Amino acid sequence: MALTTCTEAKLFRDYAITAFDEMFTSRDQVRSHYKALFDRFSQLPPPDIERRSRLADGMMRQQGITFTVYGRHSKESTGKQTQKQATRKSATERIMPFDPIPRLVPAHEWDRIESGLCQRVRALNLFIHDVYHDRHILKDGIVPPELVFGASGYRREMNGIRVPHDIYIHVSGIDLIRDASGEYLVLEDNCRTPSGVSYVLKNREVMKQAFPFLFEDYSVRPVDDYAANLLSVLQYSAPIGVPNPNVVVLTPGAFNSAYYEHSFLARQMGVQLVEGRDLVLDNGGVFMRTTRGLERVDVIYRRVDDDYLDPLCFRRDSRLGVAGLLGAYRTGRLGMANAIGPGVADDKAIYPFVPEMIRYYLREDPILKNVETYRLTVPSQKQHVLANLDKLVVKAVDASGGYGMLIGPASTAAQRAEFHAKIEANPRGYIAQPTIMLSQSPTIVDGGTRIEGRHIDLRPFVLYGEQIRVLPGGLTRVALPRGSLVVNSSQGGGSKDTWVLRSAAPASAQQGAGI
Amino acid sequence: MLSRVAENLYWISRYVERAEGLSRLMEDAFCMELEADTHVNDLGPLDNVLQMLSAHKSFQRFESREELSLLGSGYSMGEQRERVLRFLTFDRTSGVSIRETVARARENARGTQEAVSGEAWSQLNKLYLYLNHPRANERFTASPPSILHWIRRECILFAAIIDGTLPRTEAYHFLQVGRYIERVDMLSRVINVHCYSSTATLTASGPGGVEVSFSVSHWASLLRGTSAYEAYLQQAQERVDPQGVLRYLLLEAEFPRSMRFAVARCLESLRCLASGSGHTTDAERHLGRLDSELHYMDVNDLFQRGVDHFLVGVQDVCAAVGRDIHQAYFRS
Repeated sequence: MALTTCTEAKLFRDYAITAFDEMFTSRDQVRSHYKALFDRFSQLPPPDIERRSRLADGMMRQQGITFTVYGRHSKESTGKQTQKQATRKSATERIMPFDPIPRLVPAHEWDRIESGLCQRVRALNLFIHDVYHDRHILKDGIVPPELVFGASGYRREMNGIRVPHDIYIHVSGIDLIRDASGEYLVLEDNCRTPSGVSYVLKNREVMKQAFPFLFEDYSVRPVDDYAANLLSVLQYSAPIGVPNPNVVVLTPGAFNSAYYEHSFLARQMGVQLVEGRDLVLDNGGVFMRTTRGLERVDVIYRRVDDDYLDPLCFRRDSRLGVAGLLGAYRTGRLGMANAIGPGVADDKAIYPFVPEMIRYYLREDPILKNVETYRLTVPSQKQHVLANLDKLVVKAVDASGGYGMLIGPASTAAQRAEFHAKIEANPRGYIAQPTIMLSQSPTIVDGGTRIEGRHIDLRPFVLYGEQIRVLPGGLTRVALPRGSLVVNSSQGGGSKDTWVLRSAAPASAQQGAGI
Repeated sequence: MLSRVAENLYWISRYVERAEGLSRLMEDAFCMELEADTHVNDLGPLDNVLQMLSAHKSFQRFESREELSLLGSGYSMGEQRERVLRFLTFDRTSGVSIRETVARARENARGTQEAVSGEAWSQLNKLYLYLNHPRANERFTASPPSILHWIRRECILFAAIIDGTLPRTEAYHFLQVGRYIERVDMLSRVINVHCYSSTATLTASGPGGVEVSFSVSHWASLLRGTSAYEAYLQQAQERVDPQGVLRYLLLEAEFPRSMRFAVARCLESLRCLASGSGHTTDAERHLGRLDSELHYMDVNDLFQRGVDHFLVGVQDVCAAVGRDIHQAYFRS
């Protein structure tokens, strides 16, 4: 069989490999599991790709699969239309740009990821329980207590409170990246209210409509049982002894950037979507206001941050929560997912200790490694970081969504000076990591006329109920501007469908393996 | 069902019904005006629509904001017509335009996606996005009736999706109540304006005698504006006269856009809601009374009492029903 070179296919004419590439081992060689996909896209005429991409975008827009961007983002806007709107209003509804070339994960890679995630989430959960109870790990000197008690996600109100089945992180999203050798590393843990799972399900649905023929060459694991699994996890988090618990999803409201997801999940699970103002405390229990009076609520899948849940305990100015909610929760009248206080585990200052936690609690070696991280509270490491700001990535420990970070190689002197001052003022508030070239994946650019490599990450979703389950695949986010390493949707990132392949390799892929 | 969600549903269908009715009225008014006597410098039918919405003031504000002179000065009929239509279709500030009405329906639906079906939500979202897209403006410029027609069909499609996909539970009945109460409300306004506008005056003079100055096209337009024209002709098989038209639009039992039909449906859904919750409401009482009135009244009674008097009563009932529903279901 003839060598398949990238240059032969017109769409791939400008393809450059600048990092670990998901599809190619070199410009001349396609990885065996991508062979069939490569062939398909090489043969598709650009107008056809464009037409199908438009169909996909149209579906997303029409179904209102949008997120809201606040503030002015005039530069990173992806289309003329949205840019116009962005300058007119301060909050705009956007669809997340969708790239139709799926990311493929072979079965053996996925097996490793899956067991690594289960291990990690189990350890994180044990850590949270430990922090709010006996604090063995602090007493044994594995994790410095000041980092734990200084974490913005630490909630002293949770000390000594038993939660059903000792589960704190029912839903988590663990961000993975691949380094230059292709090894999967954990970039960060999201143990509070990770979002994005609705995109996983919708991307698949859109993909099936707009590019159905691509599925013919592969055996792809389905993702649509997520909602059912989530519901059983939520039911499992009910106060012990409540039969047929009444589950609701608590959203901050239609103006929240992830509102579509909240409503989508409620719909898929067939439960009520409530806002804080729909709930009321009565006689120590939580009820919702319905057309037929008050109705009892047993489990809240809350998509509202800890800080806003209960104005009596946390932020007093919050109108998103319910006064007295924490009381109902502490007395065991109510189940909540995720529990209150899991933010202590996904604080970026705690992150460097997760591998140690795994060894400490589980007596296992971590399957998935961390990204090397400098702790700025250690003077020698801080010195090193400040001297090398132009090479490193600096992140605020309690920020997310791509806000509050410095990417050294892409920064200006003024930005570096700003972070220099910030770090000096508050070393606990930041961590630094080497700039990692995220793996790249072929992505359609310039309206379907070319395919180029763009950097991606992966957010798998982990459900912790009677057992730990990982949704096959997860959300692959793409940094759309050339060379950009920031994949967050709030910063102009897009997404791809992620296909976890079943273990038997498809026939066409096996043919290509001989190259 | 959550009270907040129930309230949203009620308003979603009220707004969609309003947008549909509005597009119907405007389309017909526009067509009427195309054939109007060009020597008379008066926007008859379109003016009626403005009056019905009590939107004259907002239109004038709209005009002055656009730095255009007020209605009737220095513009040809065609230009005036187009500006009124454009205002009623696209205006963003006064709250009466179709775009605004659809935007409100959509805003309510956005917070209630999980209660209507996904299909119904995306139908509404599609309409909203289209009206906010430059393409809608282009289409309007090319032909106002074509876009109005399209809007109407999209609204009907929404109602059809609800009819075809939603189980007959609370959600459905709240949607029905909103839809039919809006229909009753709109109809009473439309008829009121039509009967007492400058082009037709309806007077009851002496016992049994009704004196009406009218033109056939005027009353035919009222029928078309409520999609009743063909149905009326089939049923009446006679010339279009005020008594016949009013009887048909108010008292006909079988026509889905008649007041009697709408009141009956609304009442039916209210009863379904109440039987679920185990208490009857004042809304039922008010509406029930109107229902039996429409049931047993004949057109002569109507003229005896005075059509305007009756229509004002209907408006009061609509307002009272709205209040009662709010009390009974939306604030627990």
